[in-house]
Order: sequence, then structure tokens, then C-alpha cells
Amino acid sequence: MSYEYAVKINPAEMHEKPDNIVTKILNKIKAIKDRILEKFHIKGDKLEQMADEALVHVAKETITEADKDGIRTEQESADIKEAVETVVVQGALEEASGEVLNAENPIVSLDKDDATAPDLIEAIQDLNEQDATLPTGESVAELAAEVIQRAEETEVMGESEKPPRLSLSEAITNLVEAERSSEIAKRPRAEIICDRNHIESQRIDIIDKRDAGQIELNFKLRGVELNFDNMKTPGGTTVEEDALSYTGVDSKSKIIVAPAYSFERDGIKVTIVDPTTQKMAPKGRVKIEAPADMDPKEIEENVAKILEEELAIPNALEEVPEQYESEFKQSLYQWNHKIDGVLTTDESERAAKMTRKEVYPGYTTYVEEGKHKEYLEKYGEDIRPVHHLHTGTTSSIIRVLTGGVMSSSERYSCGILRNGMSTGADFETGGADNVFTRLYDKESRGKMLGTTVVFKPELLDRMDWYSYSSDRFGSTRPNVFANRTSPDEILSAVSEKTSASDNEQMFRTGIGPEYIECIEVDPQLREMTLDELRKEGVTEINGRPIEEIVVAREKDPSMMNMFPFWQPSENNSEFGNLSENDGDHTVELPDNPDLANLFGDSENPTVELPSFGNPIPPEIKQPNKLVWEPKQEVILPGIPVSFDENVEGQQHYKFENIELDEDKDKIKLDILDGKRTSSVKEIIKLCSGDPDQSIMMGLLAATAKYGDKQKLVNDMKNEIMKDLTDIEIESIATLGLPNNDIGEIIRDISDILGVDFEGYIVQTYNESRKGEVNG
Amino acid sequence: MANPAELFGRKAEQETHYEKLPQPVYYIESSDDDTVLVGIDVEIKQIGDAAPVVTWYDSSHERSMSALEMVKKDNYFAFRSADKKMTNGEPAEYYFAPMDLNTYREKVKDKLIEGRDFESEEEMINAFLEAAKKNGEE
Repeated sequence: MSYEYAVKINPAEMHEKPDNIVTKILNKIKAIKDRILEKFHIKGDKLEQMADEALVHVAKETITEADKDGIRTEQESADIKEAVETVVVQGALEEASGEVLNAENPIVSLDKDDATAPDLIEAIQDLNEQDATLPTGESVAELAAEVIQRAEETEVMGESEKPPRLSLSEAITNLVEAERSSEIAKRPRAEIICDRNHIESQRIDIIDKRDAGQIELNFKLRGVELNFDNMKTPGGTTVEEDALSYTGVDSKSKIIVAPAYSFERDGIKVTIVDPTTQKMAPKGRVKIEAPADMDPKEIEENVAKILEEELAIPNALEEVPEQYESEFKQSLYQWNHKIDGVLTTDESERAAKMTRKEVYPGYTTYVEEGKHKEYLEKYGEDIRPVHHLHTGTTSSIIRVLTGGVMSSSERYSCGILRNGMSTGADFETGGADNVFTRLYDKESRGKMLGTTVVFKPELLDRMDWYSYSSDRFGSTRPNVFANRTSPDEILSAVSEKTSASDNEQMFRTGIGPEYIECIEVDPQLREMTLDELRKEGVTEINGRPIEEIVVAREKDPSMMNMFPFWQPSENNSEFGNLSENDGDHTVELPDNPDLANLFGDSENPTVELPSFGNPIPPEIKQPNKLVWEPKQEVILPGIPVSFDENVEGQQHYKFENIELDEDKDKIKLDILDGKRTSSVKEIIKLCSGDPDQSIMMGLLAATAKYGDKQKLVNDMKNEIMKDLTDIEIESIATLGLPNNDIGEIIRDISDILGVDFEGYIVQTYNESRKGEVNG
Repeated sequence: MANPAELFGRKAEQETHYEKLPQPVYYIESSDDDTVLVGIDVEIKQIGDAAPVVTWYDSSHERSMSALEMVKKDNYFAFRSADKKMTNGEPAEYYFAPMDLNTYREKVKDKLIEGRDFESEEEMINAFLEAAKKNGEE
């Protein structure tokens, strides 16, 4: 949000009658909210929250700016008074409304900050002296005082004090009474904490699905054996074969994700995923749909009966007894840290101190506050969970910064069915219930490309995440899940750089925007991204300027000069790249008419070869296309590549993962004696840091004698070309081998292998020059 | 004389190989991994001496795997995983072929959440790219 939303009031007007001052401030607040509504299309709590944050930010900035030189001018004092009184009036309005918002009252935000508290008190006193009142007649100053008093009382009670628990009916009432835009993109959600040990995480999601005429509850069963003998519930209700499906909020489209059973009772439909399904994400899922016009208390009573009588879950909707809460926390601690045995006293105490926290709108989980500090101290201060944004568009950045990142299951639950072309493989593995991140340190992030959401390390305080050291697609299949890594294991691997870049962490349901530290973009794209955000009217999000949020990635030097992995293919590079055509494969011909003439008609140089796949309908044949058929051996149907090195025409790359665990000296002796062969890469690794400079030459000679000399020579050519800089190559090609270490080494290797490497360098250089000139 | 081994590797740590495969959408088949099917924006990146990493977007998530061995022929590509094994203990193999209508109809459509029919390959490719764009915004 932008400061431009804050409508300035002429300081002279601040001395008008109190009623006029409040009226003007109210108009200003309204203007701000109108602008937010216009730009972000949000209403209700979210709108209030954004307005609060903007006003508090402006007040703090005004004070900070004024106090920079230690002297406040008359104008600065007037600006501060205006900004702070605006916050007070906004806070008083919220207090007078009696509604409890998720975010704290903006008056409290200023009161908590030592730098702003004195100006706040002064503003309240001023408004009190002027008898400033809201349109309802309530005193602004008295309302502000009540807010501060209550905040101080809460602080005395301690942060661990639990907020009042909501029953199911209360939660539904709150959810449906919240102001809701008529054109919603995502169904609002809430939750209740309940049950003992039958419902996963002791929580039930409540989805406001009034767009489909329903209130939906959903949760996962754990350790409950369904007994639907003869297609009847234990309570005698008839069960039918059905499917778990989701409906879209916009298009009313519907997708089916798993086979299920369903039954209806008291006007409520219950769908339970078939427990034998191999789809891990929906496994255990229960969806309960009640008519939207059913009284929330009636819903609660009916659902409680259904759960007890039909699914044998007693007291399912009641508050979690302390003993069960404690057991769940211990169990979650074991799960997160992958502890097989009994918890130690320290671990047990840590588990007991875990608190529930809303980590994504409408979703809470337990957190071990401050745990991330231990991780960072132990494994590196710069390690962060990151999430790559595939598109990285302005709209995606705004959406993530305002709404966070959500899992596939959450997306579907909330009615976001954007495109059914998804594979749904994450539902099979279990990954669909989670948001995926990877753990990288700063250096590794410098090697990334594109747009990346970097999360605050506080995210690691959450206890609902699991991890793999490589891509397992978030699998929860038991045989895979057993091999997951604990937080310490994965962080240690990242710290020691033994973890692959494809490590993955799965966070349940979603990650709220408050966890976003920054959005890293490629340096050359930062200004463009910022400009696009500004064009959308976004200069600030949740009180943070976009310049602080969107940052340029600190590029690793190696990323400054990237080059293709593969050499241009001898088969088709001069003809251009393969491109798609309907059902077959074509090669785009170059614009060069001379080359095109090779294929006959220069005006329409299409050459038809035998079809490989679908025939190409004549009407969609395009000029400048060559229908292509691979003639190579087919390994898998339609896939003419093979790991067989003898297949012609394919480019092959082998990564030599050389781990020299054995005694280096013994390996060297074996090579010298012809007892084993070696590669150039291995020889280089064997001799790295070797004080005896002649050993490498001996190993090369032995390998040439006992092994595949031609391969050794080819590999050596590649290594030499790879390790010489462009300047060195040009220098050798034009001036000959230098009389330095490089020249001496190349001469020695040439002598030992009987190959003119200098001549090879010159030839390669000349060919590349020729290519440049022709190009 | 300097240690010859030091000549090599001077640039290795500074090198990055990067390549994006030419087709927008690939059909992926694996001998031992049923989680792969569609690959959008397939990229290969190797930094220094580390194993090359193959990444792609599967229309809802980014996939990323280290490769021990890779082969490429025209528009076809395959790699052997550095950390996934087949049941026989050998590295799992992944094969990439340009997505065409035949492949889509025979091997892909029924495995999509809401696979639909297309009149042309262009329409199908655009549908995948659109899905990736929309889903990739979260």
C-alpha cells in the first residue's frame, strides 16, 4: 500500500472544532479504505488490518523522520499530531465496534513502541481536552484508554494465555458473519480445536461454502477403523459408493480426487475417502457438508451425533482435554524431530512449551518459538527456506505477499480450481497437503534463477513440517516417509553442502504472508518488477515498502557467464531447433535461402519424410518446416535415446562422482602398475594438492598404456579447453605456448600422450573464429 | 613446475552450465517413478563440479533431480538419477519426449485431474502452459 493513500490534512484545520477534526479524520480514513478496496478488492477484517498497518506505518515514519535531526519544527509537530490522532480515531472506531479482529488494535501498535508511545499519549490527551467524540457520541480518548488498559492487562497475563476457545457453532457464526465480498476468489476458512486422538492435529477446518449453499467441515481421521458392513454405518445409516470431489468457487467446475463412501443424516452429507485408496493426500479425509441455512447450533449438534454414532468418535467436537493435548504435543515433537524412542526430559519440556499459532489464515499449528535461532546458530545464519515461483509475474508476487502460499489441497478446498491440466501426482504421493520449500544458504540462492520467495527463519519454528534430502515429491508413503530427514539432519547437510539442491521441506496447508522475508529476483529484473508493482498501485505491502521486499539476488560470480550444457548437435544444429507441429516433428529451417535451397523449393522448402507419429494434416503444414523422423533405435516406445554409448547421433554426458575413500597412494600405484584404469577427472582429483609434480604425468602415461588412450586424449582435450580462459586460448593461438607453468604443463602432457595439444587449441580457436565471422 | 592438477579445476568452480530444453512441454516416463508425467520448462544446470541438476515444472510443483548420466538426441532427453534407485539397485531412469497429441491421448490425458480433448497440438501445449502459469502463481 502506498503513502498516497494517506490523505493529508491542512495543519491549520487541526485547530477547528473537535467535531470537525474527527469528521475530517474519519473522511481521511474512509479515503484510505476506499483506495485499498479499489486496489486490492478486499473487505472486512483484511481491509481493516491493511488500513491499520498503513496508518501505523505513516505515524511511525513521520515521527522517525521528524526526530532525525533531534529538533521538531512546528510543521513536523503538526504532521505527527495529525498522523497519530488518525491512528487513535481508527483504533477507537474498532474498539467501539466491539468486533475482535485478528490483528492488534493500531493504538496498541503505537503504545508498544517506545519511540511512538509519548506522542500517542499526547494525542489522546489532546483529543480528551477537546472532547473529541465519534459519530456515535463515544469519547475517542476514553475508547483509546480502554484499548491500552486491556492490552496492558493481557501483557500481565502473559503471552501463553490461551485465547478463548470457540465451539463449532461459534466458529461458524463468526465465519459467516464476517464481511465478504460478493465476488470472492477464495472461500474463507476457519478452524476449531477439538477431539482427543481421532482427528488429525486435533483440528477441523470450516469452509464458508455458501456460494454452493453449504458450510463444509473437513478433517482427517487417524487410527479409526471404518466399519461399513453391508454398506451400513454402525448407526444403521445406508452408505453409498461415492467420490471425494472439490467444486470451484468461480466456474462451479468439479474435480474428483479419490474414491469414497458417503451417507446422509439429518440433512448433513458425510463423505469419507475409501481407506484402501493409494492416494496419500486424501487418505483419511472426511468432508461434512451442511446446508448453509441450517442454524450453526443445529449443525454442531447433528455433527456431534454423526461422529459419535456413525463413526464411533465420542466427544469429537469438545475441547481437547489437557492430557490429550499434552500427548499430542509430545507426539508431534517426536514426529517433527524424527525421534524413535522416548523423549528425553529436555525434549519433553520443550514439547510441553510448544504453543498453537496461526501460521496461515485460518490454520494453526504448534510452534517451538525461537527454535530457529538455535538452528541458525548451529548451521549458519544465512540458511532460509525458499519457494520458487514458476511464473514470477507481478500478480503472483502480489498474491503471495498478501495471501501467502497454499498447498494444492488447500487450494481445492477453498474452491480455487484454476486449471485441471495438473497431473495430481502430489495427491498420489501425499505432497498435495503441503507447501514445498527448499533450504538454501545465501551462496546457493545466488545460483538460482527466476523469482524466489525467501521465508523468514521463524518458519522453522513450526512443528508441522517434514523433509527429504532430495526430491521425493513430498511423499508420505510409509516406505519413503521412513527415510525422511530430521530438521537437524537436513540443516546440517545444507550447512556442510552435502545436501543436493533438490532437498525439499513440506509445510502443512499453507505459509502465511507474515513469514515472507523477501522476494529475490534476478538483479537485472528488479527495477522492472518494482515498476510493474508501482503501475499496479502497489508501493507498500503490510507496511513494508516494496523496495525492501523485492530484492536483487546476490549473484554468484559463476552465474555471470553461463554456457550451454551440450555442444550444438551435429545432427541438426545448423538447421535450427526442433519445433512442434500437429502430431509430428518438424525442424525449423534457417532463414538463409542458400541453406533452404538444399531442400528444394526455396519459396516453400518443406520436405516430407516418413511419419514418426501422427500424420500431419496437409492443411497445417507450414513453410520452412522439415518433417523429421528419427531413425535411431527406439529404447522406450517413441523415445530414441539410450544410455547405451554405442547409439549413434546422441550426446552423452556422465557425471564422475569420484569419492576417493580409498588410500590415494594405493590407487596411484594400482594405476601405475596397470592393475586398474583411470579417467582424466580421477587423475586430476588424485593429484590435487600433490607435492610430487611428476606423479600426474606418470598416471597419464600408465592410463594411456593400459587403458583407452583415445578416450583419455579426448577427455584431456576437453579438460584443457575447459580450463583455459578465452584470453589464454587466444594468446596460445596467436603467440604460441607461453613460457610459464601453463605452457610447460601442456608441453609435458603433449609429450607423454603423443598429441599436439597446442595444435588442437589453435585449430579449435580458428574454427570458433570462423564460426563467429560466418555467423 | 607447477602441479599440473592445479591447472585443471582453476575454472571448474566458477563454471555454470545451463540449458533449457527446446520444447515447451515434455512427456516424462520413468522406469521406477510414478510421480512424473509432464515436464514444462525443462532445464539442466551444473555448477562447478557438482552433479548436474534437471528441473522442470509439472504444472503444479517444481521438480528437481540430480543426474549421474544424461543423453540427448534432437528433442529427446534422458537422465539417470543420482539418488533414486530402481528396485534392482540401478539408478532410476527418466525419459523425456516432446509432448504430442498421440502421447497426450494415450498416456497423459487420463492421468490428469481433469484431462480434456484437444483438436490440435498447439491447443494442448497452450493448455499446459496456461495451467503452469496459473498454478505457478502460488
